[in-house]
Amino acid sequence: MSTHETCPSKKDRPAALSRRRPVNPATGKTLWRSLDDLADEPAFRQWLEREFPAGASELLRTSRRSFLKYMGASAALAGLASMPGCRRPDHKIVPYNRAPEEVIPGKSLYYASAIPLPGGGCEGVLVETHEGRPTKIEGNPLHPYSKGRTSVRAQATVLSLYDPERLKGVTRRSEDGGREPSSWEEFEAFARRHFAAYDRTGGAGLTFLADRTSSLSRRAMVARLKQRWPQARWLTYDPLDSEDELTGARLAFGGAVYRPRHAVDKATVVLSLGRDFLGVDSTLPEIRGFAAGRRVLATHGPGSEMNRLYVVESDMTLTGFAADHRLRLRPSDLPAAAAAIARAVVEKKGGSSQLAAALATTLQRFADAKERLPSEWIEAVADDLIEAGSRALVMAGPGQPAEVHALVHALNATLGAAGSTVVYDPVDQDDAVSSREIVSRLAAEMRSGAVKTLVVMGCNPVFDAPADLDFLTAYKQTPTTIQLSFEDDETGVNSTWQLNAAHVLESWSDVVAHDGTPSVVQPTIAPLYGGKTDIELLAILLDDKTRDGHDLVRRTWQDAFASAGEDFEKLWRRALHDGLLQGRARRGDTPGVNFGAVATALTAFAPRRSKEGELDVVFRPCAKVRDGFLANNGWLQELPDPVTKITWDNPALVSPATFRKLGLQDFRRRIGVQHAPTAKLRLDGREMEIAVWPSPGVADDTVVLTAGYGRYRVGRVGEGVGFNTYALRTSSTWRGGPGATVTPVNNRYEIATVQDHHSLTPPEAPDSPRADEIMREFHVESFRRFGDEVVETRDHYGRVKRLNFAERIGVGSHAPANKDIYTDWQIEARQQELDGRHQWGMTIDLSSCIGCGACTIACQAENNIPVVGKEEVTKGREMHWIRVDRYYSGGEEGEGDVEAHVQPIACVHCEEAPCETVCPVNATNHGREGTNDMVYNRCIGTRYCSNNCPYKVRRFNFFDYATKRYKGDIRLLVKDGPPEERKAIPLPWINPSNRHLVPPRIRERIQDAEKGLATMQYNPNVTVRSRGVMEKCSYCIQRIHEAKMETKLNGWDRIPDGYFQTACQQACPAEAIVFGDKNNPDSALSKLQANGRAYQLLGYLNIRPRTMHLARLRNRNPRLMSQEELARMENPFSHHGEAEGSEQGHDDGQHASAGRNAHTAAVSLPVLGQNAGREAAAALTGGLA
Amino acid sequence: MDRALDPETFDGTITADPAVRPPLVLGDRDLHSVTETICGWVEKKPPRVWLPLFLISAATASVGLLMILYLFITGVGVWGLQNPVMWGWAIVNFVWWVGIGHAGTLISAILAIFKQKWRTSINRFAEAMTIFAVICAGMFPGIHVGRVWFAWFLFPFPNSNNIWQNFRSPLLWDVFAVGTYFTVSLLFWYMGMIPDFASLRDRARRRM
Repeated sequence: MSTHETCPSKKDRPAALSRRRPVNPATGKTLWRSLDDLADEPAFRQWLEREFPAGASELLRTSRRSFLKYMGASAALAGLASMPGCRRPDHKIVPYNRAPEEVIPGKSLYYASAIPLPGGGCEGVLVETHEGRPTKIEGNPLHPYSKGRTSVRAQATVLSLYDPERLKGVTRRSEDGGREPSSWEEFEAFARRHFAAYDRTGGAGLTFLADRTSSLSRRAMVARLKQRWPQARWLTYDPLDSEDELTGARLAFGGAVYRPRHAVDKATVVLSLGRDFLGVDSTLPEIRGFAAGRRVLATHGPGSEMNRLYVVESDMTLTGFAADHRLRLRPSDLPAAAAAIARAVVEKKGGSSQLAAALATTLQRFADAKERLPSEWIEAVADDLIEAGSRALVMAGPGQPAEVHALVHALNATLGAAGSTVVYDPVDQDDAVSSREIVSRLAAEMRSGAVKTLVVMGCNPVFDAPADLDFLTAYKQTPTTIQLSFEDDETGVNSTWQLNAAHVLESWSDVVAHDGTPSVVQPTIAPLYGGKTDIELLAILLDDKTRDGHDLVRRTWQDAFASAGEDFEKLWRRALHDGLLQGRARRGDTPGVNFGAVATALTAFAPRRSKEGELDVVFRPCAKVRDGFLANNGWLQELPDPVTKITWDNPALVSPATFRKLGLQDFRRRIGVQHAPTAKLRLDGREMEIAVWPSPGVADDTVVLTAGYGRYRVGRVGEGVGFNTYALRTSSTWRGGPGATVTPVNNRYEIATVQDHHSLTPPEAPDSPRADEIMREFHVESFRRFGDEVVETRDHYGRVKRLNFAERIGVGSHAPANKDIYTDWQIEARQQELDGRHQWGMTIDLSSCIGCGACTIACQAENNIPVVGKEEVTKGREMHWIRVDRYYSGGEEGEGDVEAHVQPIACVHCEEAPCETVCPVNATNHGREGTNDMVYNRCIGTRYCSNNCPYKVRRFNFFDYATKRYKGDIRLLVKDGPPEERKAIPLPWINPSNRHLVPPRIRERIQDAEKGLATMQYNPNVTVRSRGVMEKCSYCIQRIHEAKMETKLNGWDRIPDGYFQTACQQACPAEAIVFGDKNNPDSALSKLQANGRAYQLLGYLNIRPRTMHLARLRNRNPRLMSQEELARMENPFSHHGEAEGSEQGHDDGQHASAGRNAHTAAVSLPVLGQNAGREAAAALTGGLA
Repeated sequence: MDRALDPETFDGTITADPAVRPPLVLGDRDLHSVTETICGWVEKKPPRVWLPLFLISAATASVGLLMILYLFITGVGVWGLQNPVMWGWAIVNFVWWVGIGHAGTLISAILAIFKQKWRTSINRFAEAMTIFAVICAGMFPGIHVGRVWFAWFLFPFPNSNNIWQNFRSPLLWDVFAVGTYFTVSLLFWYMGMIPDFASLRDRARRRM
């Protein structure tokens, strides 16, 4: 609904919002966590308050027979005197006989390397190793892509290295059609024979299909390959590439294929047409650049400018979360919005008249969409773009048609953005062809028998090729198929030869970054199972004299970079040290746009559109496992999707209105555990049954399908997780398409979503804080006006409180009675105990945070946090120490346009920690430096601390999560085979092998099964917690202590500011998390905590959290704001006005007694400058005024 | 004895004079027959129905023990708990059994306050109820902790690490309260039974 309707003063508010759901005075918003929270039905309340979520105990679901079975098993275990939980495991420690050079036990070593990105480019990383084991990935600060930060996937890569189910050796097809183990020696002998035969024919019938990467060495090997076998074909394939992007570029640039590189940091106005540049389509420089433009800390002068983001999109994405203005359109209407904005820009700016005419024609074709395009919005965006000029930036999503891409190139050229906020990089010739075309032609050739030998490297076409190609049958028909793969996947198991690849952390390779910087991929561990890289395989096939990966890469580099005047050895060593070759970045081209060609294409643009009653399908990669190649990674599977907060699954997403319209049954509110109904989704003659989930913010009449799930051969973790949406994807619906129908089946499907877990705002608890006090938001203009003001007020106890900008809207400003749970003398006593040299603290900037979840994964990797599995997540037992809460606001019943807000929360390390008071055994204590520490070996697991934690950040090991494989040894009954059989995969709810029944204690032990492989990832500096132990964020205390030791060795007085980072801070691509020393007035942290935006979460409890959040700022266009919004921008604190005539803003009735004086009596001290702010913060956090 | 009998009814139930307490033992009974009755229950064989009832109870209890074994082996997740509802059935049971125990104490306490001399016959089972209820109550906080094998950390005792309990924690005072309650109830029960034990000892035919 519009904000007007949620106005607290309005009497006739909709029923759903009638119960104490107040509105944020600064933003006029009402925040809610999920549709259930919004509806606030009794059943949902009951679920939140329920003691036992449905199925929380395995025993409840156990049949009598299996109950007796487990009883028997338990008794047997006890009888065998095992009682394993009561014993400490035996460990043998064997010292080095002769220590390797540089290895100091207990001290980690970092190696610079790079992780290639699918489709080209790479992330520069530092790999942390302990005694030769890579344990953690960190960003390489020197690398232009990473700048010391990482993505979610890079963090998770290290877990895949130790995947116990990765492909461990060479296998080949046996006589009877089964698989038999083989070896690299056997394969080499075969290859020498087999490939020598192609020398006579020049390689006719020999085809290579490889993933898309920008590796120099591979390019060199391919050149040799083409030289030796000129007839051989080298094809590259990426199941999620965007052919429209390529075609669009070709259209705009007169045949040349360029890919745009966005400099978001230079842009002041950004318009994204369906491009999720902060989410699934993101690159780190884009996130970094955007976040930099949101991090407004000054009220005036430099640093007070904020960028503005307009988003037009069909599915709800992280970019939509971050948008200042978001237009929700179904995919078939989206080009109309692009054309309308473009026309307004071209007409006002005086661009190509040919283009303007073509756009008018296009818009006529979209006449029916006109009513859905708010003209005011379009005009405002166009004016804003023109005003920004060369600092504007327009981008188009990979799912958009080629014409939209071409139009965006033309638009950027018209605005003058080309060359300023966007530059272009030429696309490699092999990669400039559509993957869809490549794989379609390949399938036809294989079927016709033209392909005699197919070598597949780094891709899995049997799983992800378009379903209509029947790639598997064609693949099986091919006489010789060879696949090099890291995983035992669907393609490999059907190949003549299945070769195990080396993991990227075991490989020698090189890769060119997005800006052309050559980066080295160097191994940090010898291949665990003797795998080989793609270049090593090519060397074998080519019978190259150089076989070793290192020598191959070095040879390439010598050829490419050695120059006469320079010592190559020095250059090479420098590159190995830095992980890259500096000074080789491309500036990027600015090719001229052919406006005539774009206009011609637009005039002819007439896409097929859905008829009445049909839906549009959007097909998008998964934010976590992308196309499915990381499906066996438990960290990624368990990371909540940043938008839907769903783990371990990929239901089809529709808008709540469409969900209702389709007649889908809403199971969610009736049963404790969240369930989704299933429906038959039909697109282009293909049909699949899939669970459907209502997701606020998705365009109506649109179905969003996520790729990468439903793997049927990959390993225990990824198999049978979610739905294989590739089964619905044909070569004509490569990026989705119109004309889909949905028929409700309404089977029940369990969804593990964390959206209502750990809620700080349970609807029924009368004392629970309001969501808008937890997630504070202002207009940037309000901050500029009032950001430096500090207001004095007296609380209920008569103490003077000084409130900064962000604190003025919280409960703190109302000073309610009986909220302080600690008295003054208690606090003074505690202050004296905090006598450490450093006083640690953290800030999380909600303005720049985009909610990607990199912090969660980084924390998981650093702190040995276990994966618990889907069933445990449904019970609210996920273990992530730092979670990202998501709130929505607006939308009639969540069915209209919604805005989203994200907020990472970990333990805030309260100075007066409520958890410490109640632990009977003193297992959680306060450090002298202000950290709230857990003593794991003292913890007996009473869980009292968690009961008493107001932030719900403590995590308990209900079972032995750390050492047990969560699915036990029961494999899902998933059928292997061609797509037709794939449909017969039993859906989980009728799966006879019920995984719920396996109590973790008697599940398969990881160590026993895999000889400790999976435990090699563990960080040796962090305890692996046993069952029955409470855990939580420790502020990465192991890193604090490491830094302290180094400080001592260096003879420094104290740890310098920024000397080390916590894992979450280190990973955050938006640089939203800052950790540091509060005692150091010059530290970045002290300055941030003194900022007007800093506020304490639940600060009114007087528990004095050390982590502060910086209130979110948004830069909404005043032209598009309602009168009420404008008034709030003018005065964000005036929520007491008589005009509103309501006491709704107050949760405690305090104003009834204090009258309007509560705020007006406060002395307003408009002070400018940082000092006053710092004083205020000191008053708030340091001591009592 | 005859002095206390009411001349009107002679059945001893109603007395005309409220100052006169009615006799506690009526009819043709003397101290010997009372002793015979009370000690007889202990000395004679149990009725036939006792054994089946005992077996049923024992079987039920052993299911409980097996469940506790399963709990110990598997982990406290079997209670069906989650964040933020970290305490469930175990704490419900604790409160329930403490309530039962309090009922027993209440019965004997009220009778003691009103100086009802016949309370000694009630005390026996009231206090027995308290004792066993407190045992049940005390058991549940013990088995609900995550690491049962370290539950002894809850008790203060001198140790070489000089680690003590957190005396601010209400849970620790629960431990002390239940411990004290159990000790006092046990003493109370035992004191009341000393004469019975003496009688039984005197009547015993041989040493046990």
